[in-house]
Amino acid sequence: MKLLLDLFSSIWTGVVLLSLLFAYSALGSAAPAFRQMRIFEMTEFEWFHFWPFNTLIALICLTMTVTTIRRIPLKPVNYGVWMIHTGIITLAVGSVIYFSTKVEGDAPVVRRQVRIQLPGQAPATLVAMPGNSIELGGPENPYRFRIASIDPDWEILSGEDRGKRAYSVSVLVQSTEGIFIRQLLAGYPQYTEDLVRSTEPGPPWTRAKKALGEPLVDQGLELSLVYGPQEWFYLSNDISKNWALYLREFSEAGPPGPWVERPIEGLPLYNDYVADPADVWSTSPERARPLHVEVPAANATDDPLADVTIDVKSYLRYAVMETRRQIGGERFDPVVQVKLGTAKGHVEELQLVALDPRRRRAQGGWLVYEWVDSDQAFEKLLEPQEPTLRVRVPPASVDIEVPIRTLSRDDPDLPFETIEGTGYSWRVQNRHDGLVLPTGEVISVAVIQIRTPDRSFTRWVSDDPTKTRDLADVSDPAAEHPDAVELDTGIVMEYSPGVRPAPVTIVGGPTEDDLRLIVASFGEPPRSQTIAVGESVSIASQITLTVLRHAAHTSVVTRPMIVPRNQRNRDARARLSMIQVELPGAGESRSHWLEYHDWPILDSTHSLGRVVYRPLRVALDDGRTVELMFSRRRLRLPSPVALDDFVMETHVGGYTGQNLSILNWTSHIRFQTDDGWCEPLAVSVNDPKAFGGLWYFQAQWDPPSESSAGRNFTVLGVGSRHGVHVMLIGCCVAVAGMIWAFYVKPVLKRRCHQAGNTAVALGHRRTALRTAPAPEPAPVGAGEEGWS
Amino acid sequence: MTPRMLTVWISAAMVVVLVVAWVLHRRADARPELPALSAFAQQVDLTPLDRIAVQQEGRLKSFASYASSMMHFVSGPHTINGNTDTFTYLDLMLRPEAYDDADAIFVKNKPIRSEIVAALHRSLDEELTTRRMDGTPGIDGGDVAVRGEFDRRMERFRRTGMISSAMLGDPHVTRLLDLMERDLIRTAKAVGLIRTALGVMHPAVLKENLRIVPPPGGGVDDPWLTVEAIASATPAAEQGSVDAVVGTFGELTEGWRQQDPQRVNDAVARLAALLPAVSPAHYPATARLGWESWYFKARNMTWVWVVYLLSVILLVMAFVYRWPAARWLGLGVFLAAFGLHTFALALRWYVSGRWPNANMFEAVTTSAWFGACLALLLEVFVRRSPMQNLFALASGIASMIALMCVHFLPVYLNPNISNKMPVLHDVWLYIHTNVIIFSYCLIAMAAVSAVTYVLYRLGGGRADYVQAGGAGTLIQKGPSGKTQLAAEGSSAGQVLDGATMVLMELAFVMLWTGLVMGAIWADHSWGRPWGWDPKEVFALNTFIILALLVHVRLKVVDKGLWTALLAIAGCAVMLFNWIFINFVIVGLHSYA
Repeated sequence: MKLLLDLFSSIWTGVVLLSLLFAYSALGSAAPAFRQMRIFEMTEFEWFHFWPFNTLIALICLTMTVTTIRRIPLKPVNYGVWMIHTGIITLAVGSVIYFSTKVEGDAPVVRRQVRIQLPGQAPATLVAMPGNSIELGGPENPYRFRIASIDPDWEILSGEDRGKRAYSVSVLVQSTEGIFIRQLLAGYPQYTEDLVRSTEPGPPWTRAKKALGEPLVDQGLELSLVYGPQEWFYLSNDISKNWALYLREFSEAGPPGPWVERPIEGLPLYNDYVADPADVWSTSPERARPLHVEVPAANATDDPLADVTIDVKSYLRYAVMETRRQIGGERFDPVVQVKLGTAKGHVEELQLVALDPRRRRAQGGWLVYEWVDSDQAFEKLLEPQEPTLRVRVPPASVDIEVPIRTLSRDDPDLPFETIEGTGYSWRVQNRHDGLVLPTGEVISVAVIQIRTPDRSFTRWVSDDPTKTRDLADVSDPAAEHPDAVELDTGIVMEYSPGVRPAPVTIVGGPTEDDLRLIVASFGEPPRSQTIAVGESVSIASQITLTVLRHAAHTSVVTRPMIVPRNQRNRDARARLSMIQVELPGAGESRSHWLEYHDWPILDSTHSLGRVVYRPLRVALDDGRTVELMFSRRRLRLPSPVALDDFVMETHVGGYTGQNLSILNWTSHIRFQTDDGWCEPLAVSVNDPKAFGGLWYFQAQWDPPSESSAGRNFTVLGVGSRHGVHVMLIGCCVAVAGMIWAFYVKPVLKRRCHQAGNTAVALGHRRTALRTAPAPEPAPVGAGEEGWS
Repeated sequence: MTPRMLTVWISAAMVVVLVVAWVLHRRADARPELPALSAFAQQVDLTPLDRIAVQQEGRLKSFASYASSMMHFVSGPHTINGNTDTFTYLDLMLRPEAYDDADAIFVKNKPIRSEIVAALHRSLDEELTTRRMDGTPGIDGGDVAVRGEFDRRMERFRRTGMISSAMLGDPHVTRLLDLMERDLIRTAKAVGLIRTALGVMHPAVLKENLRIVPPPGGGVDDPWLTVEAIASATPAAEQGSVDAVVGTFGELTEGWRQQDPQRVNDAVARLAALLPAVSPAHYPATARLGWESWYFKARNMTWVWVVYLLSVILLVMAFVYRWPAARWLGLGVFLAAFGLHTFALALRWYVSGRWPNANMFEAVTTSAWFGACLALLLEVFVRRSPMQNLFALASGIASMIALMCVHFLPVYLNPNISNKMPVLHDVWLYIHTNVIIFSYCLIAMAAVSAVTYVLYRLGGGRADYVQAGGAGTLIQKGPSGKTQLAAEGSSAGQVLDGATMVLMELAFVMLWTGLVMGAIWADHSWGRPWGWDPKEVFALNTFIILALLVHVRLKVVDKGLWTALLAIAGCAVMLFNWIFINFVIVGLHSYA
């Protein structure tokens, strides 16, 4: 026992422990790859709560306690050391309380939902996010509602609230009766009104009150804006891993039921574990590393598969689902797989599909794969032709064809070409070749700015004349929007994109074994050569191209593609992770890949824009269909929380798209209490609010994008903070101790000497030395060799 | 002083001189050769633009400050053709064709420079081969000249990092950059910077960002406008002043394109008078804009490091040879350096409207200033002690190094003034950050005295140390009524050890206090007082080193040496935290 006491009252023990603590911390923090190794798979929090760390802290506290009690007499000159040691031990105790009770997560809260009440039907809700839609009504009386647009700062232009700003949601309503837009203002239901198609020139929509004499087209249809309360918060993966599987039974007949949670214990975080390498696409050879994580039902009453334990057999940290062609099959669908590499080891593997307009180009268009049916077609690829524009003004018998060489996009001062005797002048603003339309069609367009004595407009001239459109010029003060306008038939234009081979073109055909490469450097005639599978060709300095596979007949397979580590965006965190689960099937188990979701939102009508919603739907042998989703664990909030308002304060000049132009974000939130919604609480950056034992922080926001003005939801950070005050007291006591030990103690000693009490002081010291078993001096408080 | 000691001191001084000379040589070597200014550039007077404000990212900057921040994206630390950033901005915007083949873009990453050079070599090979095959007359003879010029240019690019947009547009280079952009870990960021440079120098981008017209009749939240956009956005009542602005800007544009200095000078002067009149209520004070311009023209006054260097030389002489003249002269120059440093800090505070501690440039310069403040206070306190001169010397060296860093490494320590990130708008920014950077400077100063102690020992000095620690050495008095240093006729070892301990004790308290304050801020900002963020962990590790120092000193025999070594180790960990963690490891403190 004495040996142990001596050991734990030795300064050297403390020094060794502190050194170990330093080494452990440095390793976990400066070399994150170490704690992320497969053997550990630890987050920073997990590493710093791992048993070696806890043991170190416990031993340091023990050493401080024993040393302080045994070696440092409690007298004024030593108060400093006592306080420092006591403070640090108190801090350690506070940390134990804090981290053992810590819950931390986030809760997305939408600003408003649209409540839809059709006559004689149950009400439905649609989260107010641009693009969200829902179909209601039934086969005889179908309704489709789509959030057309949202303006978070709509200015009320009339009535007694004139000048005030409100959150405005425009809902496009389509029914058998027609189409109209209903505009709803949060907090001002009295201003709800409809917009109908205008028959007049000018804006395409007009107020129903003006066109029909009534503010509402369909009086029986009730739409209103209501809160979208959030009842849960979702635990972060930082403190510990909080993966979860969500399940529910799916039925076409009714709305989806609530998700049932199954916590997943033991799932890794940083590394890929693949049960069967044949189940994934990968640029590097994958070893089979199956997982066997069993996920039993946690809530047998509501779980649709209560008696089934789901097995997670694979986990991918960063992967995307990718459809590829595999060699062999019946379908004529030429495909080539190539590898690009630089001398410095940058490698990228690509699959190009000749007949798929979206996938026949890569690398920003400088690598293209073509299939030719004949040698003549191949020869044509070697003959570049300039893009041209044919301009005709039939009444003036003008018909000219000019090559397009300069664009006003590049040269804003490019002069307009005047067509003599017609009043028309034009110039080419831009060209877009190989545009893929949503229908899959590929077109090329030239954007032409046209001026007449009366107006100016922009014409998108397509190589398919049926796709040519005129658009009002945004700089034309008469036009409010760059909407399509009636085609000016006075001037006819035809665009020919020309033929200019891409810098590198891989050409397959005409026979299945033919494979050639065309390299076209800028300003030089294209050069062609044959290339064989497995052959590497230098296509530019430092870059080689290797053909890995080539086939004319293929089959389509969709699998997760493991993104190479050097191409992973660190900010994506777990957003692109996925798991492979095994579900029971007819006589055999079936594997399914589940993509990660930040939040298990209820359904697509609750979508939050950029947040994905891709649950897996599986038909079971017993005829039922279940939906599964991979996400994080959740905890119920003490009370549902709603977002009343979201305010963004900016610096001079407003929001510029940069965070530096933002001063603050504030979510005005309300909690549901027994008496209804509480008064709004303003949660902003650096200003959290407490409610029901949890703290609420401003964590994320909905920024403006091309399709949305943003500010439609907020994400609140939610967390507990038990033990914080204990930690704070410990820290403050330690600070006071340091000041005492370094600055008060010398003053005390000086006064002691000045008062002629040296002998008394030395007497105390002798007493202390008599009681101390070891010959070594006590730390700090006892003074440095007692120079006094 | 023993001959051995003298040798050590002379060696140390030579090392310092060689380091400074090497830095200056590297600096000169990496600077592109500047051609003589064109007649137009010499005659054009853009001084009135100093009174013009530009809105950028929520700030109203002076034109000089704005141009500096934009050109920083393009040419990094270099100027183009020796012109000011303001001139280059306008020239790029109005005469872009003049820069097609000008080495105007700075590529920071040296391995990427090498890869670009290799790609361009291949491109040249192909071009010459093609021309030879085409039978271009005289090409064989011209090959050598072409290659010679090309090699010289590539050598210059390798050295300075400056390359033309035309070269970056070479198909071989674009393909290489495309591929390297996919490597998010190693090269994507560097390629992103090149693409940003190419984008920023595009005349349309320069025009679009030149928001110099306050919104007529608008509010504070309304964006400022470009001259092109103003005409359509102006109410009819205010059309007159706007028309004048548009017309004058047109004059400037035309004059510039025709390289007519008189026309440009007239237009610039008129523009500077007209713009504030568009919306006087929204226009910032002319004085502030003028000072902001001056501050950037004066290169943020980072050249003050030279004054600190002078004070260091004098204070070293005062410390080693105990020359009173050197002492007073050294202290005087140190005071002058501190005065200039204070002025630079105050000026930045004035033009930015906030205390300068929101980015790395500001943290480094402010930290050094805190150290200088403390050094002056301590010099007053120890004026009759053998420790005199030592704190000023330590602070002089720390400040000199800090200002050299910001002077010579503007690519890493960007001097441009921007708004703070939203999370930094809190009173704890001023409390926590200042206390932490103060402690960092104390650690650096302690390392200076510790290194001096190690040199003293290497020179054969005795293993002396002070028995009562740091502050105790200055406060406690022995039976004779004198402090240890005064009573025993202190050795240089005791003086250096005492100074190290004074600074380390203060750093110990300040660092811990700063950490606690950071935890309080983090608790209400991020939801947890401690997140095991790398920056937090290494601040704690620095504290652990200081704690080790305090405890090891109690046990070892050679206390002075161990104290010095651990003080240097503490400084190394602090610098690792400030440099490596900030620039390499991404964490919650990335904006700091």
